[in-house]
Amino acid sequence: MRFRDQWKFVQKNAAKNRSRLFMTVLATAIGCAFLIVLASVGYGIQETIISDITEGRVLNEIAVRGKRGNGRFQSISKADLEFMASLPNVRAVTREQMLAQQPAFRMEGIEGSWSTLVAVDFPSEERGGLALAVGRLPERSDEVLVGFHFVQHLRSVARDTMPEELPLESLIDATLEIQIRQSFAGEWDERWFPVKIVGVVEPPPQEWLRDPRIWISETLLEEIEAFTQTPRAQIIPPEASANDDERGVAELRDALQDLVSSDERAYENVIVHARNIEDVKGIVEALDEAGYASFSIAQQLERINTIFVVIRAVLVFVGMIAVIIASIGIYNTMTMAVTERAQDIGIMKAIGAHPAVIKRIYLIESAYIGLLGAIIGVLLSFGVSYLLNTFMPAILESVFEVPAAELEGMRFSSIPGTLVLFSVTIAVVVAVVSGLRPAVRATRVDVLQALRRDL
Amino acid sequence: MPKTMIQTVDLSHHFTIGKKGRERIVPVLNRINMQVYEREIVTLVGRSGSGKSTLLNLISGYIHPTGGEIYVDGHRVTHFNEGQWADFRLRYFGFIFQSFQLISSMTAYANVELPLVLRGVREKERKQRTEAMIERMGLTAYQDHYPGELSGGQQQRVSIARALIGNPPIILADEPTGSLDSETEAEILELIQYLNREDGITFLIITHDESVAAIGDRTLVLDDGRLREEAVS
Repeated sequence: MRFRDQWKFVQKNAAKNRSRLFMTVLATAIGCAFLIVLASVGYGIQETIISDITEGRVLNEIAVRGKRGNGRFQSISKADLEFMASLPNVRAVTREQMLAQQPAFRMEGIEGSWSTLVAVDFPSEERGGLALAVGRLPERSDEVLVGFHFVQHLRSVARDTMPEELPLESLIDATLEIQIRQSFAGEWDERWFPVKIVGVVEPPPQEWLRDPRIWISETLLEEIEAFTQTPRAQIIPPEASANDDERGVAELRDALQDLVSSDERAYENVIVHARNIEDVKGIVEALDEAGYASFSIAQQLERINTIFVVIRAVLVFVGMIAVIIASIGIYNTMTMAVTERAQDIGIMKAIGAHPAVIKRIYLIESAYIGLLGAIIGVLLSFGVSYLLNTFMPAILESVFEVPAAELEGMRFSSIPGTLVLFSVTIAVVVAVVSGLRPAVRATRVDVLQALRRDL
Repeated sequence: MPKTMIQTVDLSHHFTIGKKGRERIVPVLNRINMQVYEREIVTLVGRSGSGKSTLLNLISGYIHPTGGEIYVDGHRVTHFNEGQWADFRLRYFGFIFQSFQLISSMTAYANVELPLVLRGVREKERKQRTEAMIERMGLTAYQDHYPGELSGGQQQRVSIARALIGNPPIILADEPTGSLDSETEAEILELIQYLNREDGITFLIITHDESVAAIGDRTLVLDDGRLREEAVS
């Protein structure tokens, strides 16, 4: 018997008791929708959390906080940077050294009381993918970059003299003078370091972060340190410098000597840039093995995803209960159908219908109910999901007094294609399994009994 | 020598009745040896309870014998499983029942077409053959009617059309006129004789009606589970 004819049989049979079919399909649809909506909440919350974590961040970055050794936590040295750069699949290792004083500056008649300077290695930054809003990367030690919000900082110190709208391009090629101070023998001394702004860095990915910093080269930092005679231009109070024998001053001077002689600098914000996101795991393992404390969004996401897989599995399990309840309806409907059509089945068997064909017809009918229910259930779940995402924030705000700002961008329900596919498959499989016993029963209909022992 | 279409060899059957542990064996057929030849009309007569229906059920494969063998067109069918029987029935047998056994939710056309559907015949060919058969049986005007909307004679014609549509070599009929008035009965018997004569179909007919038995080339008599007499008409 051809599949097309079996399908016609199924349609004819289904049409015999429309109300019963409708109720069974409805139960399946509700069960399927319940399963999808429940799991979609897991997906929605996961999406919200992950989007919060990854907002603008690059997933192939690994932050290295320090190194474990000799029973204490050590900062990252140049040798460490070289080790990290030598690891396979590392594209670049970027690092920062923050100046220990916030110097005053002046730029084209504007004078600022303080600024934040950070020394970076521009070639590494370039390999790491540092993006500029305007301009280019510095090529000389007297060239610098400024953070995206430097212009706001300027405006805050020179409100009256600066135009309201100052384009970023106007900063390019501007000369900036940075005042570095230090006390020597109890007296303040200062030096102005003239630099040229050649580029403006893209804003930080997180909206709430501000970057008004001046990005200088490590060479310039060394020049500054040569003047201050302290690491990172740390200031020695005049009262301390008045007496060179004081312990703190001596330590600082020694530290600088160490820096110069052994190159033992301590780096901050060390980021290892992997070539691909797939390489992150291997690099993290290598760093861990070498005793480095590292953190990567990709690894964190992996852990979060694992947690959400468990949460979703629990939600799907709960949702499955509804589908299983619906399957009882399908079983009941199919059993009734077989009982009602026992004579027809008997006649078909009497004239030569193969038991496998009869079984298949009833299994197709079960699958048809499951599929129809699943399709309606999917549509229903998309509707419920839309309502959840649309009205839930308002409900939470008015009933539970959750601040609207906290709910902004939050997803309460998300239905990925895989969930739809999974639910439809589950609904159809459960329907077929429910119809299996009635279908087998149909093949066992006694011909003579069905024909009322006519022959 | 005509070809043997149906042959039974020492065919016996008994039913087991009663509760487990207190079963009782009721013998129904005792060592039946019979042949039905090609293009023959054989009628099987006997009193009620003589075992004639059981014999037909065994030949149809609806029940399995407790002893002996059955051959149909040279095939030993006694040990067929249900699936094999289904395929065999579809190919070799047409069935005519006393109470027609039409599927009530199907039109006359769909009932006639059913064996071709079960055989997997393409729709175009099915349509041609079904329309031709319906026309031959004089049912064109009623092809869209449901069995409940047809007279007994018309229903039996539909039943015969369904039995013939697959061109089976053998038709097994149980009291084919049992539910019909005498006028329709004569009409149906005439049709059976015509089909035997023109299409060469072999008929095995169960009846207790003398006028039906009279159309047989041979009449077999079953008495108390034994084939006692074979009369040639």
